[in-house]
Amino acid sequence: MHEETCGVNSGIMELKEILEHHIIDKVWAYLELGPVHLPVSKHLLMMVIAFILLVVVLPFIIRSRSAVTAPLRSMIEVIFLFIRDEVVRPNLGRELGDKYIGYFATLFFFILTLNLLGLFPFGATATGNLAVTGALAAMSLVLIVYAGIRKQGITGYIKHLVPGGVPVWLYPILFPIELIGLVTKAFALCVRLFANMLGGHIVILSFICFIFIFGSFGAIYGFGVAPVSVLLVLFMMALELFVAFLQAYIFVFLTAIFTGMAVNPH
Amino acid sequence: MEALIRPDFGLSFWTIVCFVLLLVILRKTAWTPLINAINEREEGLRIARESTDQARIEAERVRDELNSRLAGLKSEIKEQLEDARKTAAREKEAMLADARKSAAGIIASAKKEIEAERAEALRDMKKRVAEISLMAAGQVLRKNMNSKANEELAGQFLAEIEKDRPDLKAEAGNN
Repeated sequence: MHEETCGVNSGIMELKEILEHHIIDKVWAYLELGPVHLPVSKHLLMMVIAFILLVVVLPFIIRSRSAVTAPLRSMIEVIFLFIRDEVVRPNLGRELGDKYIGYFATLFFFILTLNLLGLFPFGATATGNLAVTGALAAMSLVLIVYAGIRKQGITGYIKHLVPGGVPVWLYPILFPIELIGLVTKAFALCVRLFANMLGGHIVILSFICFIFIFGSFGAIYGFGVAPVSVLLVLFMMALELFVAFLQAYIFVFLTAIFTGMAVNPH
Repeated sequence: MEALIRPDFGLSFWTIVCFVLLLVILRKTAWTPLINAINEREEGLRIARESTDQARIEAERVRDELNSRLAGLKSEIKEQLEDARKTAAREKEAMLADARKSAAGIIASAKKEIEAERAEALRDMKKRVAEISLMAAGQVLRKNMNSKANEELAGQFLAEIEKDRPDLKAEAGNN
């Protein structure tokens, strides 16, 4: 009896270690640049891989006229056109939308590539790191504010932060609320992507660990649970694949909506 | 597990560097060519659509023209047919009239001929009758040269003939 609880405990301990091992960034070294410490880590490696993939593969596919790459080309084109015609233009308008389309397209493909890289064996999900999603959200926040100021001027933008038709005496209350709301939107973007990418991975790892937790009760339990676990993991992987696209889309979509709100008040 | 929610802002720095570089590079190498290709294709499609529209309009115009020409031709043909029919009827009438006239002529001449033939035949016959009568009279005369009664008889006979056929008398008178 005592041994069994020990086994379960050690299983749970192992689960925690396994989760940390797979989800948390592995820092190999620190680049010391005066007061700043820049980590050289697995998530950085993933970002570099994504960077190289996007910089090399995307232009190659887009520029090539060969029939072999035609399906990939049309896939990229469909995604790009979808972002442009269904996401960016309806929110920002045609002219502004075409001006900022580069940002949204890059954002989508960057997040998507990072999400997908996390599904490869030995890969890590950089978008499952708050620092990464935080940086992406911060850049979106900068874009939102920049686009708003660019369109309405700095005074116009600040004035329009508070919705029109509000009595003047409410301004002192509403203005801070709207400012906080702006930051909250970005923060929500950051946490949404982070949690979604993390959640799926934790569920997958937990399903796999079931095998070993039940295995610690006896080999027969482990083998009994294994097929169920594998099936569940397969299902989760398929879901993750979908979520990888979905979350990239949602991040871009919400950024476009917020930018549209900043650009066109009312 | 606290490390999960303790962001390493150094990585944020890398993310921003990565993303901004991507933004700059992809705008030049990927999105601009892609947009150009899409615009080019859309332009091509637009041109193709326009030329198709034009061709359709042209085809419709040609069809209408052909239709109207066909209708004109039809009415013309009808007119000509009508004309031809009228002409034919007129010709027929004329031919019929001609035929009738010539038939009447033929009949008339045939009648005349028949009449002439009959007159001829009658003349012949009368001659013959006269000859036969003369021969008979000769016979009788030879036998009864001096018989007064025979002469009377012959005269009676001739009188009878004259009474029966006055035309013979007229004919004989003419001859």
